[in-house]
Amino acid sequence: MENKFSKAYILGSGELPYMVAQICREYTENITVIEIKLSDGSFLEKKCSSESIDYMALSKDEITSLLLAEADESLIISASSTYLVPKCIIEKSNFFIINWHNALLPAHKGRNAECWAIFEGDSLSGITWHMLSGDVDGGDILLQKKIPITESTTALSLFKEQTEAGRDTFKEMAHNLFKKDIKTFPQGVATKNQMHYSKDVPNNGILNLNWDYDKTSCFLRSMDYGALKLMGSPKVIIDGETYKFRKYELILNYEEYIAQAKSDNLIDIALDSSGFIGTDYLLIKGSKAILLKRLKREE
Amino acid sequence: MKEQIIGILDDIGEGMFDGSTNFIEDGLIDSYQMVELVEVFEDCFNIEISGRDIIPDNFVSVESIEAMLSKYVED
Repeated sequence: MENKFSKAYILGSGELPYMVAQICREYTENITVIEIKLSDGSFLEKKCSSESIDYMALSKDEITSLLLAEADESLIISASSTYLVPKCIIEKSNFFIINWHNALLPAHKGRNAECWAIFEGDSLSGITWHMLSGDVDGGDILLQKKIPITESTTALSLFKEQTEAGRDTFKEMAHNLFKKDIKTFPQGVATKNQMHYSKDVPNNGILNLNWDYDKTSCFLRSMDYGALKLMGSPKVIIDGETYKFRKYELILNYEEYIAQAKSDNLIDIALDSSGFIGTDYLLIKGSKAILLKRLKREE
Repeated sequence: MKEQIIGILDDIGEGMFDGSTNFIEDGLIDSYQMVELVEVFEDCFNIEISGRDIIPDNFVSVESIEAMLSKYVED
């Protein structure tokens, strides 16, 4: 396989850097995966070790020093990385640097794009491979892939799909990338300001009881990272008390749901208005409903 | 508890976990499956597992899963 680079550095965390490293191996053996040093064990480190892929856990300053000292022609792939590549690295003429972002740029730049795409009710998300310009998630686009957002898409499921799309599209462009034969096109202009920061949480993590079903569903699914709770547990304020809840159920046809529950002898009362059922809270929204499960009052 | 963990892994992996000495390095559990497993354990044992414990070292074997869960499950 043709390769114009002496080395490939892959920066990032999670599954994608490992997937990308596996693809890069078809072109070069000189691969180093670099992850920002974590206090706990690293999944990526274990995966790389099992495949004998060079792996380093470094601080952001150490990554910068390492790359500044690199004199060889290198391909740098930032894939699910929180390291913002500084201008002094971007400007190095021996580097070709690309970044994976989990949105259809220029939409949803910054952090947790999967969460914001769902919360804002987008019908489409996707991924973008792009060059680095020095602005966060700026730079000309190499490749994009769309991913539909459905009524059952959660932040975790979307991120997983985006990771898989990142792997598939990288495989698709790897041949031309290693030949340095890549065409790019500029990012358009975003229709609204969509820069998200790590401190940002949809509606500060609080479910608004006045939202309609669709907005409530978008909020709950955008906060849903499964057990990871990256955005924390969602909260709801009922009669002046704040409750955290762990799980939820979206009920698309409430009438059928109740009929089924009655026939299964799960309930023996008519539930025709929103309210507590034990530690759960039922929110009826027209013909649909949402069950917030295991509410815990905050002290 | 060990039997329940083995039962859950059997249900999910259909025997795939048998004979593995390291679920992570053998590629049997990826980071998403780790999160899914946590949810199954949370429901099964009626516990809430801290994000600090959702790390690969706690998911390399039945024994490491058991050690992690035993912090949450009362005898």
